[in-house]
Amino acid sequence: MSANVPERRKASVVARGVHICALVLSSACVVPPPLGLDQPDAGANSAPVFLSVRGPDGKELAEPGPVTVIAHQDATASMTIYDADRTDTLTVQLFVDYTLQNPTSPRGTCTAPPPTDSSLERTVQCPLKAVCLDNDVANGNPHYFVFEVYDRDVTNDPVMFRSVASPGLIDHRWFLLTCLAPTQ
Amino acid sequence: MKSSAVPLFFVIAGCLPDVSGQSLPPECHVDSDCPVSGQVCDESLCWGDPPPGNYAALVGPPQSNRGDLVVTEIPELSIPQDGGFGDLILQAPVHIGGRVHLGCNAFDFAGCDANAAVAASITVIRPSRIQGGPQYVDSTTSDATATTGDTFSVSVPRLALSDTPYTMTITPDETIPVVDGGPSAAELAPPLTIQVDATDDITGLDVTLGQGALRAVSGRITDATGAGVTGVRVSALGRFEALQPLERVSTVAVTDGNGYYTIFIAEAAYPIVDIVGHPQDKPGMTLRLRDVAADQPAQSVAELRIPAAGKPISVTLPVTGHSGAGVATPVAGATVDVTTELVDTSHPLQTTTFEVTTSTDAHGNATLGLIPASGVALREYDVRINPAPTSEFASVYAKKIEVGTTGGVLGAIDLPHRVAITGSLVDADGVPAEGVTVTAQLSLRLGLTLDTQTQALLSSLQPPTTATKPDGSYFVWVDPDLAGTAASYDLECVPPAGSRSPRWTFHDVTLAKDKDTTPMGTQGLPRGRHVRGRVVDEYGTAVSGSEVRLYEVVLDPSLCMASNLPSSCVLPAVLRSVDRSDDQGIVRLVLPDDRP
Repeated sequence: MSANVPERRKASVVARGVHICALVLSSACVVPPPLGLDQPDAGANSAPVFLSVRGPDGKELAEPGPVTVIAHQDATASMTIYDADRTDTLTVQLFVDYTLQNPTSPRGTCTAPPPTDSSLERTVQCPLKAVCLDNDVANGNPHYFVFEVYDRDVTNDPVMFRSVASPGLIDHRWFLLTCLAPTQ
Repeated sequence: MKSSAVPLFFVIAGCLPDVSGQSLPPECHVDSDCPVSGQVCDESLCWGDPPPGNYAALVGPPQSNRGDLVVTEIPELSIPQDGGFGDLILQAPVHIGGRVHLGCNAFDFAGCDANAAVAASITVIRPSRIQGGPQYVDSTTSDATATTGDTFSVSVPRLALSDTPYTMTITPDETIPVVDGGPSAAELAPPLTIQVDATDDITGLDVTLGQGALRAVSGRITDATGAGVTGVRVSALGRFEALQPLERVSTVAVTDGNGYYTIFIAEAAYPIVDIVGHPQDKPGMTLRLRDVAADQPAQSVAELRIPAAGKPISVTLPVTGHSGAGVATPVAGATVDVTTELVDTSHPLQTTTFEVTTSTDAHGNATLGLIPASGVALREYDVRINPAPTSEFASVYAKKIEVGTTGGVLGAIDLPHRVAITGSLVDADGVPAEGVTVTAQLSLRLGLTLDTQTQALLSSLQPPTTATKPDGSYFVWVDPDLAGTAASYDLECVPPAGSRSPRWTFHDVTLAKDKDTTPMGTQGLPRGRHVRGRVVDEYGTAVSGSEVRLYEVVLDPSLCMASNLPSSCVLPAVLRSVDRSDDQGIVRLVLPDDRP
C-alpha cells in the first residue's frame, strides 16, 4: 500500500473484511457488501488523493520532475486516485503556467466516474496532446505543470477554472515541465 | 487493496466473487459455462478467446518502492486462447551519468572555468519499441553545484544492439549565471544534441557545451528613431530535424547599450533560422526576421526595428452566445487569443507581431492590453475564441476587431451554437452502460488530412467529454467547424473501473448538416474479452502497483493515403486496456471483441 494512502482507507479495508466475513458466515450464498461500507461517516466529504501520476511512457512521475512532454503527441497521462467517497465523480484538470494574473484555461481535462466495483482507487487517462503548445517549445523551458483533482463540479469562483463547488475538495501534484518539439 | 482471505470465504460459501468483488452476477462457475471453447472460468469470469490482433504492452513499475526497475516495452505480446499471457518482466535500468561543463576556448569570456559544472536541462528520447507507441522520454537536470564527478544521472531502459540510440538534448540554463554577475550558460552555449548508445551503464559522460562549428549571427535592434535598444532578448528558432516545429537552436543574447547582439547557432541545427527578439518592456511583441541563412561561420543580418506603438490600452471584449431560447448569455472561461501584425514599410524583411492570450471572466469579459491605433486608421486584430469544452457555444477563428486610440468596451463577439452529439450506450448484452466516459476527439482520419499548422492549432483545444447516465445516455457539445474545416469526430468510450465492457472508439462521426443535434441512437459496446498476466521482476518476484497499458498496433492501409501522414505510415497504436497489478502482481485487462 502506498505511504500516502489516508489512514481512513486502511481502516475501511479492515472494516470491509469484517463485514464480508460476517456475511459469509451467516448466509449460504454471499451477496457482495453494500457500497456504503466503503463510505466515511455520513456528512463528511473525503478528499480525493493522487496515488500516482504516470507519463505517456508509463513512468511514474515524482515531484518536482522535471517532466517532459512532446508537443502535439497523441499521448496520455495516467493517474491513480483514491477517494473514499465511491459515488463521487472526479474531475482532473491539467494546467501549464497558470497564474492568478493570467489564469489560463486547463490544457487537459478528464473524468473518473464512480467505479462499478468496490475499489476505492480509480485509474484515469488524461490526454496530453494540448499540454505543450508551439509557443511553449519556442519560448523556452521549464514550465509549471499542475495536476488537480476535484470531487465536485469545477467552478470559476473565486479562482478562474480551479474552484470547486461546496463541499468539494481538491488534491494536486505539480512538476516542472519541459516541452519538446515533436519528432517524426 | 483486496484481502487475500476474502476469496477463500466466498469459495467456502459456494458463490464466487467476480474479479474485483463487484456486484455483477457471475459469468461462470466452471469452464463449460463459458461460451467459447478454450476459455477458462476463474474468479467468476470467462477468460480468454482474445480477438485477433497485434498486441503490445507498456509496463511501468511503481516509483515508490521499486526504483530498481524501469519502464519496459513489450512490442509483441502473444495472448493464448485461455487469456493468460504469462509474466511481463520488468527490466532493471541502465544509468547514464555525465558532467556538463563549458568548452571555454570557444568563448570570449574571461571568467569561464572549463572545470566548473553547468546548470542545464537534459532530455533523453527515443522511438518506442512498440509500433506507433509513445516515444520514450525522460528528463533530468545538471547540478551546477557538483564540484567533482557527474552532474547528472538518468535511469533508462537498456538498449538492445538493434535499438535506435537515445537522443540526448542538453539545454543550458538561462537563469543561473555561470559566475557571480556573469552570463548564464544559455548566453554562452547553444543547446547540444548527442546520441547515446546505452547498452550498459555509462558514467563520466563528458558533455562539453559550446564546442564544434558554431555559426555566429550578429545584428542590431533599434527603435523607431533608429537608436539602439538595450535589453532585448534575442535568439534563433530553427530545427534540429526537418518537419519539426521551430525551437531554439542558438545561444540567447541580450542587446547591449547600442542595441547590438551576437548569437551562436548550434552545429547540428539546419542553416535556415528565424531571428527572434522580445523587447522586455513590450510583453507580447515579437520581432522576427524569417528564413535567415546562417550557413557561414559568421554573418550579419538586417536590423530589427521596434515599431512606434503607443502605450497599451485596456480593452474589454465581451463574449456572448445565444442560448436555445434566444437569450444572450455571457461566455465565461473562454480562451481569447488576439493578434495583430505591426507593419513597418521601411523594414520589409521583418515581421512584428503582437499577441495577447487571456480568458473571459465570470461575466464573459476578456480584458486585454492592446496596442492602440496610430494615426487615423483603426488597428485591426484577429481574434480566436475557444470556449470551455463543456460550453454550448462554439469556437470562432479569425474574427476581426478594431481598436482606436483609447481603451474601453468593444462590441460583443457573439459565438455560434455548438452541435450536440447524443446517443445511448449499451453493453454487449443490451444493458445500459452507466458511467462510461465519452470524449469527442477530432477524428484521426480527418486530422491526417489537415496541414500541420491546422493540426497544431486544433491539438491545442480541449476535447469535450462527458459520462453516460444510468440509462446509458450521453450528449457532448462539439464544434461544427474546426478552423474552416467541417468537423468529424471519433467518440472514445472508456467504461468505469470494474466494468466488464472494454474501451471502444466509434470512428468518423459526421455531424448532421444544419441541425442542432446529431443523434447516434443506441450504440453497442463490443463484448469484453478478459485476459490476464503477472508483472514480475527479473528474478520472478511479483511486482504490485505496476501499471500495464495494452496496445493494439494499427495496420490500416486506407489511412496511409492521408496527405499528412508520415511517409513511414506508422499510425498511433490504440490503447485497449489499462490496469494496475495487485498484490500478487496480477493484471486483468479487457479487450474489445467486435467479431460478429
